[in-house]
Amino acid sequence: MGSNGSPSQIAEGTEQAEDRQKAANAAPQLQEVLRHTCPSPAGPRVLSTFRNILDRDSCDLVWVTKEWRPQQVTLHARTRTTAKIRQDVISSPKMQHTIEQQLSSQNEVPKEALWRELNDILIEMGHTQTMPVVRWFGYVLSKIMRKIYSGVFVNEESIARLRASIGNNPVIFMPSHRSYADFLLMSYVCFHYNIMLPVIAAGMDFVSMWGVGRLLRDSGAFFIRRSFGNDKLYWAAFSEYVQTLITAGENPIEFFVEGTRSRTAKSLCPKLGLLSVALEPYLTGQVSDIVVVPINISYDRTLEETLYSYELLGVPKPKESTSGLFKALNVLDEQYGRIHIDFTEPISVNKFFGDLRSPKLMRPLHLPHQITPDESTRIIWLANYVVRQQQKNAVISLFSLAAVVITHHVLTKPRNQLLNMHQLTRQVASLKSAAESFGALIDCRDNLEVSLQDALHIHKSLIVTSKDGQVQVKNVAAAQAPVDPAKMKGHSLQDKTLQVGVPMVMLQHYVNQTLHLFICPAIVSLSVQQSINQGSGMKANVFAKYQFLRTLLSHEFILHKAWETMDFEQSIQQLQKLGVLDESLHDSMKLSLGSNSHLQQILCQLLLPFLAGYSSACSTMSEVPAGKTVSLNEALKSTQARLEKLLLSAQLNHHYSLSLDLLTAAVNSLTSMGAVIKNKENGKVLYSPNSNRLRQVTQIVGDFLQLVAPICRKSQDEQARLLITRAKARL
Amino acid sequence: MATDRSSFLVKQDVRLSHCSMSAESKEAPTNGDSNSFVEVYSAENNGQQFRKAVKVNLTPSAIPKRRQELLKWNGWGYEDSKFAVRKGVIWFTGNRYPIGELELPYFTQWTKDVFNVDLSKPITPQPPISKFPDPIINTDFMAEIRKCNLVISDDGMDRLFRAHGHTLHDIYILRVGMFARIPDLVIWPDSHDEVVKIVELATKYNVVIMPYGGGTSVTCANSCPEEEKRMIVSLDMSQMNRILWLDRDNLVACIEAGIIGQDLEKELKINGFTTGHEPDSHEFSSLGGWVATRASGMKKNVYGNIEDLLVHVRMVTPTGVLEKHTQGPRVSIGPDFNHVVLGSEGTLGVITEVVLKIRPLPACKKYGSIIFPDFESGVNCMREIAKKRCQPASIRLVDNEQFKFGQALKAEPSFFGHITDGFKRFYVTKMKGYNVHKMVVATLLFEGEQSTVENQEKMVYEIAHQFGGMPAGEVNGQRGYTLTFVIAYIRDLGFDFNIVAESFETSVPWDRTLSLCRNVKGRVAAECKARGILHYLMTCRVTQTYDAGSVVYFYFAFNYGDMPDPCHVYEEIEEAARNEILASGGSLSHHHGIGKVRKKWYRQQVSSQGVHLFRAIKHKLDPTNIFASGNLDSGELKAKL
Repeated sequence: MGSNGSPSQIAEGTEQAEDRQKAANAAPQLQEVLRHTCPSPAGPRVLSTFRNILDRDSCDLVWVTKEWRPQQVTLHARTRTTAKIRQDVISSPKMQHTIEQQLSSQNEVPKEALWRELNDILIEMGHTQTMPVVRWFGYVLSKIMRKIYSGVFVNEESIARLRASIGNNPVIFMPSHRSYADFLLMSYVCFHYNIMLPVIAAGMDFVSMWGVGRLLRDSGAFFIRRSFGNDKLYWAAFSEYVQTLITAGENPIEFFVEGTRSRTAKSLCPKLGLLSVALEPYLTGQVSDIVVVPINISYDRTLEETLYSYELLGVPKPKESTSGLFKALNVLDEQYGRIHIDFTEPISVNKFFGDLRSPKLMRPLHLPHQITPDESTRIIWLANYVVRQQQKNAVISLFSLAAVVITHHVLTKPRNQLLNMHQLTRQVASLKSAAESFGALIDCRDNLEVSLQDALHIHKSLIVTSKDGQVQVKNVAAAQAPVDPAKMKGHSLQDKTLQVGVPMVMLQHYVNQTLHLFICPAIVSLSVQQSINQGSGMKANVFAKYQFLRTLLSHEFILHKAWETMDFEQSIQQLQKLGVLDESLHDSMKLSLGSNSHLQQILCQLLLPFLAGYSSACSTMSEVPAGKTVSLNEALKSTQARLEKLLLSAQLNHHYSLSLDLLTAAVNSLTSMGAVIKNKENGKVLYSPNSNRLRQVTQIVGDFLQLVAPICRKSQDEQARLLITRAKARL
Repeated sequence: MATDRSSFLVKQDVRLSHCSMSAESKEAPTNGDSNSFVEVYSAENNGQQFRKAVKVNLTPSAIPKRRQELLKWNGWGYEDSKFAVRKGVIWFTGNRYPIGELELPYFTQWTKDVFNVDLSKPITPQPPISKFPDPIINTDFMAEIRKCNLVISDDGMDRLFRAHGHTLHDIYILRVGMFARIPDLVIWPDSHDEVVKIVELATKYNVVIMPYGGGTSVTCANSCPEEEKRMIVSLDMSQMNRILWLDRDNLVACIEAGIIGQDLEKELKINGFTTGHEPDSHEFSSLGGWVATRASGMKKNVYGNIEDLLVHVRMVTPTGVLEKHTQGPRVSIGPDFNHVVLGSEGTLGVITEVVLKIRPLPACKKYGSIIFPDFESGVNCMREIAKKRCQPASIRLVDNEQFKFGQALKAEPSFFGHITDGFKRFYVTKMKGYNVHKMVVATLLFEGEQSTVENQEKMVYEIAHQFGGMPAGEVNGQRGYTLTFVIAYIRDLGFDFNIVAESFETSVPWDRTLSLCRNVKGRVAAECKARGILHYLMTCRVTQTYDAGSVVYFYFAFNYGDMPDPCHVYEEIEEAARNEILASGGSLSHHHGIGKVRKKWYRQQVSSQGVHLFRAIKHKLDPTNIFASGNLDSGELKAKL
């Protein structure tokens, strides 16, 4: 296999500033394509088009045994057995070439051994979708979902749109990935609407779970190893497997462009490997188009919320095991609210790419496709666009808005000043209208007060309202079994840090659900404030600051370079409407703050944990002596230690800064900004500071941090007292 | 050498005869004219001697000078042959073709099923045109031409007839409107020398020449550029239709370029020969046209394409006659300039005389057919047959839609029935498990020695068996081929009922054949959907096989309802389909050529350097652009490769 086309390299490429530059260059042209191909759906989204599919006429048994006549993905589709698919992969010219011409002769491995290995790989990988299993599984799922969810709401308008756009070309479903439940939900929805069930790319972790691996396989999952670096045979087998699924067009393919479950509830930066492999049949002219359907799955409450919280702080997650799964079944006693699923406007890859296939000289199909820079730019763009579409089509729960308000309160108000229900409702209402002006669809079916109370009720294990209407955060981390320090992924945090940290990170999980709405306005308003403080306020000056922050946070949020200017202008308009920025345009080149300082404060505050974490990461890296290097893990550990110190000494009060995901993004970001240099030594990735540039970045980040640091500081101990500590351990 | 060659010429046996193919005459070809030959030795300006056999009494071509007397002025083929509707049933008029005078009840039903056609509401085309654009006359040129004793015409219908080919656009215009520009004068040259004279005069007086052969182009190659302000002369080559000599030992014949396919074969047959070149248009298309467009014949597997058959060619250009002065069977002399002439599409000069390879008539000719459960297995079988190089003279694989269409064209129920024929249908679908809506058929034509044909048959059917194919008899195979000529008439019927139709083709490597067919069909389906076209036919066949790939031929037709400009809609969809073909690894054209409809992709196919090279040639041979048909080169070179 040519190393050139390997998506792992493309994935690295995203980190390179030059690629972003390229994307920016291609932007205007693509913008045009986009405007042409992806018309915004008619009218604003409304909750009334969402229908609860658990609420159906027929009983579950009748439902699962209905006649199965799904809408076909393509006209030419043939139904193949698992064995036939395996046979097709083995006999494909590409596999023949890889084994006979490449691997065998280069590595002097006997061909027979390679063919045997290939067969084993394919057996390990292959899906075995069988309808009886799907039906029974569907039956059990119906029962479980009825118990824990108050509804699975699907946007039926989007289903109609989906139906209209399939039938001719291979289809890829790309749902957002927040929970294990995503795997099952998509198939469940497709079954309900008589759409051919997807074949799902899943991580290998499940296979080892007794029974579960089999069950998922039978429901249509195929399994890919998490890392296979230079294993050319595996790489060839995997890509051929995916591509035969695409070209045959029997089922939609489903995979998560974010690569893994987002523990933070924020969208992860898209991974390009699988997407590039899946698009190859299009790029090489084997199929005329591919329809990509970004899908948003919004959860009121994430099943794994507590687990994620521990994981982000570095407490190891239990290995996936069936017994672990049964233990986790106590989740069945809880309520998880509603799920909203929205299939966004299907994207024609051919139109999106502006048909860049034609002028190339065709190579025989068995040779690996070399992805051109042009194609690579567009794949990156597409991947980012998919994630953005997922975000745009989220349904935001009122609890997420409440989480923003509560966090803000906990961080900024003195300890004796508790938040009461009235304040909360009022502040959520104003935040709601702000969010709506940023294009959000908020799940508020009743009057706000009732809806908010319902939302809080779902999360009663985290947030309690006392009889006198005081709103408080519960300590969910009590009585935690002692954690073996050796197993900690990061720094061994003290118990009292975890006590506050776990619930605060959990709360942040729901704050994060809203950040895609607020991130650009937040960056803009902080930039404006900073610029004014420095005596400028000129638009160009603000833009430069905005650009810096955006670049800094580009590993944290979906801030594709190509949208930079568009987002800036849009945010300014929105902020002016909301009174965060002054609307009276005396000077169109100058920006000033408006009267809505409360919202401005909330917006800026949202950036606090990120700036604090990044700032500490900068400090850690600058302390690496010249000529020395550190591994990522070492960097994370010492940054966490530094942050814990700050928390203990009340110099910082947001525990989300401790998040390992956040700190990893910080190191990656510093790397792509050139402040940190990434080296590969003996296959190990090591980092060293680039002193001058790092000093610059540290300084600027520090300045921004100063601005958002809360007016009222509280020590961790004080904060702990804000929490109610009755809750039982639930991990 | 020249004197040696004279001994090869067998004078007495060469008989050239022409029968006029008027509507009434159905006699066997009259070969009793016993034309005798006069040997003429003419000293050419280069000193070489050429032996010429010139007919004394000139018999007319099968196609008269006034073509409109025999052929439709606004449709395909003979005036007396067409699909028509009588009492709600479609039938075919005339006796020229096997389905002549037969009612076609299944086809009638098929048009309703596929196109939702209402046969009671035909659209009538405009009556024959009587008002034509005023001719642009170059008086100096005219004065000189009149002195030359040439057959000329400035009659409006004569001019109009030569202003178009048979592209959908051409015929659509003829039915509803008028071309902006048509030739100003028609000249029928009678010999190479006359052509030389005409080209000289045209060059001298800056008059445009557009050579005209059979007029069967489907690329708008015959269209006059609208912006051309100079006088345009259409050079109708139909009177240059003689076989000048025939060489039995070397198996070559020197033929004038205006001869049309059916005349050429008839003449050669009398002498026991054939060229074996049989493009689907061969009733009407001309030798010069074949060379100018790099034509391909159905039986190329045995006889080769036009470039394989061509030994020597003369082309008259404004700066002189381009030809090779050798007839070696194969030479190692620099770039082969025959290939400058081949595919030049009238942009460089007029092709006047061609020396073609000929073959003795085959001893045995046999049809065959194979059904396959689906298109994919059919394609795989074709690939295997090509790999083993045991292709019969022709092998074609039609997809399921075309298979059903072929069945629908039967007058009576037969093998596959309609599909009512109990037992056979039962056998194929139930016992053999074929799905009527998936199965496809390959038609075969074997030609050669008895034993060769038998061997070939055996091999082909054995390979077919490996791919799930089942022999389906000679009759089905033969029907496939005899219908070839009739299919071209269907479009005119479609015009009467709101349907526009056209075909297009490509050549493609084997490993992309299947995906290309799929992609193009998918793309056309998507384009139709986007335009709200509900009733359409998109069908393909793998019509030729090569070592390295195949040729795919598409038919696309749709019911345009009340669209104001269906022709334009068709062109948009074909353009999308062509983009899809190119993106799927197909070529711009296998045998139709570039003309004007595919100019925009020419540079992309041949590179900017290729375009430069073509322009350099054009500049040297035709510096003042006398041959201003405007084919091939779009004139733009925004170098962006």
